[in-house]
Amino acid sequence: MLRQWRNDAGNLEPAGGFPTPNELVETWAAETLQRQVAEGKVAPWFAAAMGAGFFGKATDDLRTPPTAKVLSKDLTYLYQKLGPNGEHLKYGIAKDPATRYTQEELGGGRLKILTSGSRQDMLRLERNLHETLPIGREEGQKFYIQKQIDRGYVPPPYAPSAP
Amino acid sequence: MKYQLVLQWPVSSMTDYDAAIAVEDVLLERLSDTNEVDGHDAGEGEVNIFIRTDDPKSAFQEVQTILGGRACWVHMRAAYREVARSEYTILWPEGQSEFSIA
Repeated sequence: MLRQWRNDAGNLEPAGGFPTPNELVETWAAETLQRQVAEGKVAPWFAAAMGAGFFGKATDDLRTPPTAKVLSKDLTYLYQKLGPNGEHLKYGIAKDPATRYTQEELGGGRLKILTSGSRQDMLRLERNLHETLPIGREEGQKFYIQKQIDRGYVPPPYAPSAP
Repeated sequence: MKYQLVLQWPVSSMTDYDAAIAVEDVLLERLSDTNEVDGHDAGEGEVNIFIRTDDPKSAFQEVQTILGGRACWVHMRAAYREVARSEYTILWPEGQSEFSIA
């Protein structure tokens, strides 16, 4: 997917010193989960369930899975809205992404959960993605396009993908 | 919660976007516990804030009290739907006949 985005955007790569898009997501996801486990906000079993492994020492509290209500209150999800062909449309944050859009609004596409964490962390990551990755068809925020031009990225419309 | 209330207004600059996040913060802080700010997305030239509630009209009245004096209210659109359904009922502005999330 990320390789396709880069291709669509003329093989853009971040300027020197900036992380690549997949590094952004992966680093944040790992760091966020690790920190939350260390602070006792997320149970190790939850981190493990997300494929992130075990980061800390379990306490009695953390051995008991929290209720769905507590999870939904504590966690904010960063998601990517994808079109029917898997193309990027836009990003958003939600405590409960499952019902964010109607089937009609999804238009044959789906939501892909990129990571989860505190709202502030998800806001920061969302902004980074907007400023770094190709702009989706449902975004078109001119100020993000300008931000990307300022960073030396190729603005939309993007060249068609190579076959 | 049974309903999703959507607040939508135009954004055209980073300042507008930052203001929208600030509005979301205010709602998170001041909406009563029976209403839950679920998050946001940024569509084409607009921002949407999503609120989960069992009483969308009452929630909207709270929102109006909180945001009525802010700049975003000038172009505010608000509508709700049952979580399990796709039809929106428009609350604001009065007389508005169409609502969609781009």
